[in-house]
Formats: sequence, structure tokens, C-alpha cells
Amino acid sequence: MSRKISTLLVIALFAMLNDTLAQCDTIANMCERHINTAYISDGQTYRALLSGDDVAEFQATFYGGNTYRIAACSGITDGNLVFRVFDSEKNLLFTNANYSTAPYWDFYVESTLQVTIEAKLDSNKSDSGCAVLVIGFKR
Amino acid sequence: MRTVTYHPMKSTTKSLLASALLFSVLVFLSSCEDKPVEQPKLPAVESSVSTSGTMNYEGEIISIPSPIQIANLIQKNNIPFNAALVNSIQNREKYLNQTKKALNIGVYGADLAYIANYNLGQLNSDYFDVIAKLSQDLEIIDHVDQGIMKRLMKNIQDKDSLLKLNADFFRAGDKYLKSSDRSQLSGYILLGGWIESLHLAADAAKVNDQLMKRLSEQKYSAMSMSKLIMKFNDPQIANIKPAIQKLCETLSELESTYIYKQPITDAKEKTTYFTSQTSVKMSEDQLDEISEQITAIRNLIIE
Repeated sequence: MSRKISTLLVIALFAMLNDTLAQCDTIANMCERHINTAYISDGQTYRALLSGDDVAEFQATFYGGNTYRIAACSGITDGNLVFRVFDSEKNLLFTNANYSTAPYWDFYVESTLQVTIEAKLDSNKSDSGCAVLVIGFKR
Repeated sequence: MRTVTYHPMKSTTKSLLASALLFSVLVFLSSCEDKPVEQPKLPAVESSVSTSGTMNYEGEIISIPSPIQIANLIQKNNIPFNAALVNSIQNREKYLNQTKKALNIGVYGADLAYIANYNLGQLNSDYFDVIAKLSQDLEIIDHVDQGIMKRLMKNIQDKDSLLKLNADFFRAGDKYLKSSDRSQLSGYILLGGWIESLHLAADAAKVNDQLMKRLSEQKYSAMSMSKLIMKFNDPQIANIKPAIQKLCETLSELESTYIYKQPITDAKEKTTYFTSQTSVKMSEDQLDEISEQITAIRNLIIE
């Protein structure tokens, strides 16, 4: 009997994890649409499961003389993820919170920078979910 | 407020954490009753690869610039194509384990970006074929959107399309590996691509200041790469790991300056201009030393 319960619990857990993975994949697919034909992907997707005030932190290098697009998504609609970009001295360079939580933004980088991108859920819209960032650079 | 980066375990929801613990207990009990747990194909990574598939090596989520950007810069500076620089497609036969295959998918991906910039016809197809075969061996290719594959086949001779579709292919592979708990392979592809792009940049840096500057700027990526490589406990890269650590240290020691400037935002264009200034100094001797280290690591990867 206990063996059957264990098996059912394992199946239920796998189903839940698969659901979470599927959710992340769906969001990633939607987010990639913001990296349109004018941009080339950096070849990666960045994901994190967030809850409440959790903050996901991503390190990135942006080369000087290039325009980058950051798209930030959570959930099946745009504008659910707040992201902030800091330089190596923790100066805030940008936040989409000042621009209606725009799902993507472009950055022209004059001189090569090491940046930290922080992403968190918009607490007015969601309390947990998969956060996805995709980055592209202009051709 | 919690930060995923430094406390990755805290980032998952409580229910997921509880479920993971429950799962571990159940697997343990199950294994006691029946048979030993099957050994993983690859050694465990010293990290918490989260259930979200995040590349979250002990909390570090890193982004390394695309090899395409260095390849583009080489071509834009009118540096002639040098066939001796790319990894031979015949070498594919040497790569027998998953680690080597993944590392060299990265290498060949950077090579394809380099080749694509020079409109070399059949070479585009040859290098993509190698990437596809290695990806097939790692069961990646079946999980890449067939639309990308079809467009790649159709546009393999078109430079602009190829560069974009090559990047889309790598992103699709990265997404699959991260969502199938094989993030370490994704890390190896990233590492292989980084080393190959440095190899191409180092050669060009000998004759071009722009490429010398770009190579010196790898100081920034080296910090991230150093953190990533430290998390791998794979015996297959035991010989590569100290060499990469040494390279990252050498790059990190390059003298640099940073001057913060207030960014300028054009809200209408949804564009922000980062005007802060950085510079990294690299002497000819340092270039030689770094080039030697890159060559040694690359040889270990492609041999």
C-alpha cells in the first residue's frame, strides 16, 4: 500500500516539475519573439524560478560599439517582470520600472561594460513564476 | 528581499523545495527496496541546477558574449580569412565522450560564425554538418525547432541569415539542455565557443588594434568564466580546468579603468545609451602570454 502511495507521489511530483519546465519553455518561446530579425541572439536563454520578492541576478558583458536588446518575460503576457541594469560599481543604469515595465529595451553601449541584470516579478501582477531573460545584439 | 544569485536554494518556491525533498526521500527509499540507482552519464556538477533548468551554478547565472560578435569584428577590420585557424572537420571523429562533443560544438559554432563572414560557400555547409552531427550525438538536434533547421538548410549560403540562424540554433540547443537537467553540457558549449573566439581574436590581435582591444576586454568575461569552470567536477576536463583558471587569472590581472557616466535614455525609441568609459591595457608581452595560454587550452579541447 505504502509503495503505491509512494509511486503516486513520485508521478505527481514529476507532473508538477514537467509543468514548471513547460511553463518556462513557453515563456522563453514568447520572449524570444522580442529578439526580432534586426537582432542576433547571444545563443542562450536565462531562467529562474521566482517567488515573492526573489531577485534573479545575471552577469553579462556588453561590448562597446554595439546595441543590445534585453527582453524580460514572466507569465503569458508582457510587462510582468521588472528588470534593473547595474554597472560594476552598482550604479543603477536602467530600470524598466520607469517605463511601464516594458518587456524589452535597447541599450547602445559606447564602451565595453560588465553589467549585472536583476530581475524580479511585478508584485502587482504575480507572486510566483518563471522569469526568462533573452539577449540579442543588433546586426 | 531575496537574491537568487547568492542563495539559489531560496529562490525556488517553498512547494518546489518541499517536493524536491520528498522526491529525494522517495527515490532513496525506492532504491533501498529494489535496485541501485543508475549512475548518471556525466559526473555531478558541484551546483544546484534548479528545476527551472536555470544555468545556476551555485547561484551564478552568467552570460558570455556571442562568438559571432568577435567573428564580425575580425571581418569588419578586413583581416583575411585564415583556414589554418579553424578546427578541422576531420577532428570530429576524435570526440568520443559527451564532454568533448559539447566543447567542440562550441568550437565549431565559433568557427562557423568566422567562416560565414567570408562567404566561403561549401565550407558553411561542411561546418554546420559537423555541428549537426555532434548535436545529434548529444540528442540536441531532435529538440531544435524544425523550422530553424529548414531555414538553415535553405539559407546556408546567405551570410546574414546564417549568422542569425546559427545563433537561433545554439539558443534552441541551450534551452533544451537547460530544461533537461544537462546544463553542464550547455556550459561546455559556452566554454568551447569562448576559447575558439579568443583563439581567433588573439591571431587577429597581432595585426589589429581593435582586436587587441577586444581581446583585452575578455578580462570581464574571464571573471564569469572562472566561476563557471570551478563548478565542473568532470574528470574529462581535469586537464583543461587549471589551464583555464590560469588564463582567467592572467586576463583578470590586466590593468583597467572605469569612469561612470550618467546614461541617456530616449524613451520614444526605447533605447538607453550607456556612456560610461572603460579601458583595459595589454602590452605586447601580455598578448604573447595570453595567446600562448589560449593555444594550449584550445589544443587540449580539440585534440
